[in-house]
Amino acid sequence: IIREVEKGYYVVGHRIPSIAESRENFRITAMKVYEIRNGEIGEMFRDGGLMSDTRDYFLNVDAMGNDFRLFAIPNCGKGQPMQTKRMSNGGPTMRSRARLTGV
Amino acid sequence: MIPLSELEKAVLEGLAYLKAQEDVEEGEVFVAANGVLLARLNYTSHIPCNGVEEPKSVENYGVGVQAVFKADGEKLRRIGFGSETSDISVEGVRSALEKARGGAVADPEFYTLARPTAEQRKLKSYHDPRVLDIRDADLVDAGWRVVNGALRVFQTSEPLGNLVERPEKLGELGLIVSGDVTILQERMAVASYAMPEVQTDESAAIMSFITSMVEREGSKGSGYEATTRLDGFTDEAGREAALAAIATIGGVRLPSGDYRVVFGRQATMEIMHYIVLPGLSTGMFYAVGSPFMGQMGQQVASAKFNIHDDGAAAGLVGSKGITCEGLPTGRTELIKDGKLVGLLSNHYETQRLLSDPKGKEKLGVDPKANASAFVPRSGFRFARGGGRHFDAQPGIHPTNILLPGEVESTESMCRLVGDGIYIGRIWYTYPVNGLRAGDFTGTVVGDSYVIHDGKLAEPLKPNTLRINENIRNVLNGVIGVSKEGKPTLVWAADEIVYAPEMAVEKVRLDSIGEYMETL
Repeated sequence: IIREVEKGYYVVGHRIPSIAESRENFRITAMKVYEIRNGEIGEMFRDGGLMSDTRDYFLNVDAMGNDFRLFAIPNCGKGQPMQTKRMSNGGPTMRSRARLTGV
Repeated sequence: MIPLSELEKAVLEGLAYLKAQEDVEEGEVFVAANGVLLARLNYTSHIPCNGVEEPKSVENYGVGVQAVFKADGEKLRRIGFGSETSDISVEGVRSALEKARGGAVADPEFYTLARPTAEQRKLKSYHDPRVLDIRDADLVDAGWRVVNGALRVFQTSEPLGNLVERPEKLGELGLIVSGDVTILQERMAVASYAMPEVQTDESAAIMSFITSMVEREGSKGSGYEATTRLDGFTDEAGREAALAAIATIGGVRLPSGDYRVVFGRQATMEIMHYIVLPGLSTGMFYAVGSPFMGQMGQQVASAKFNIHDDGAAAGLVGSKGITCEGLPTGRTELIKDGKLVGLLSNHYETQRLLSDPKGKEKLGVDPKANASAFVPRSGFRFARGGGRHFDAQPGIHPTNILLPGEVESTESMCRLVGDGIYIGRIWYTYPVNGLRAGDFTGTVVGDSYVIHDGKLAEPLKPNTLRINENIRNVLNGVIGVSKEGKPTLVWAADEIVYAPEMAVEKVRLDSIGEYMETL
């Protein structure tokens, strides 16, 4: 997935998400952002992430990994008072197009 | 709910039990009883509904014990916490102490449990007893008051009436009134070796948060109300939400860009709660996580920006008589005329920062010479937005957050801005690169308008703009704050922000979700 990218970014490790009310847009930040040049991982950046309209992001997915993985999260974050149903979410490595965000 | 006298008796007996334990150097017994009563409101003009759903309630009570265990041979001095649900007898205290003993750890940064400060308690007997003894019928009544307030607005609205052939057809517009009326009831008692006289506190509040829609037009509005008195609770939340839903019919979309902005009350509250206040605590400074690191006494915002916490303000919704550490509540100045002057704190974090060898580097001034800036007035056991929890240790939590300003009215705020945007309600507002970086984002979801020539003009279509900014830019760009602050509820939290409107010189907004209009 990375080898096929001439110029791009590898965005790794969930940090903080922000979604629009009907999930039509999102901005998420990552623990690490690496530049990809000519199919190789290069310089690492901090405080980065990506932003996209949801439809555009998913319509532009052009590679999916076979490395699906789930991560446990302590609650679903819904309700007042807060509900604490144990959950998980996750996915595979996925390649698409989005706007890179930074400081 | 369990009477206060029983909580007081439980603490007295519990403390006597602790004092009889040889291995306990110092201890504290905290007992609480909480009630949350909820009436969900769900009115839909085009779908069968109940209007006011069946009332629900949750009650809990129990005991929490903090104990310091003596050093014994190879075992270091340790501090532990344990709790027991639904049993405040001596047996409950025994069980809680056993858990504290089993989980106790040696904490080199722990010195003592809470000690009296030089301050005196200001608030006693400040609650409305009718709210503590409320009946289901009163709660249902309050719910219908809110729903009917919204429906009266819809029925008498000329702009809404013009959208249908005749009044009987109003329901076809898809009118929605949704939200809840929540009553929060809290009682607590606490005593410790250092403060052996049992202290008690009780408080209650009624709150309502409403979203209203004219679904066929895709417009939405919000309303909210919070009060401490049953006779002070009106239909304001319902009326306000319905009026805002009607006012935002026919919203426009704006392009991405930098705009002059008036943040409405909910938007101001959300930015304070999620982005500013978490960075104004001793705990966050100790952890080197605040966006204001090293800046105590320095300018961190426009001179027009002021924020303070006041847990002892009479008549305000978040007020308490004492903290959950048994210390008096009071006023803590946080940012004054744009300068960082104080921090919220509890006893543990105050002691920790005072003793921190890197304290001066973290604060920017010598903590010991500036200890008056972080007196422990904020040590509450709030969690999950409802009650003072016996099964939690004291954290650092705001109570009433106030932002005094000078601008007289919304009209004056708009004149200050000239051309820009009024942002009424935002959502999912988070510090996306961590609190310290200061970057934050959130979407504009309703109650928003274009400001043109100093006046509110067309409504903004909901969910078409995303804020992408840094809090330092926003705070330094404040050009005006309104005089009036209104109690504004924070989702799943216990503090009340008396939120004003706040005008900012420049805010970066990005257009989002344009494809939704083609669906």
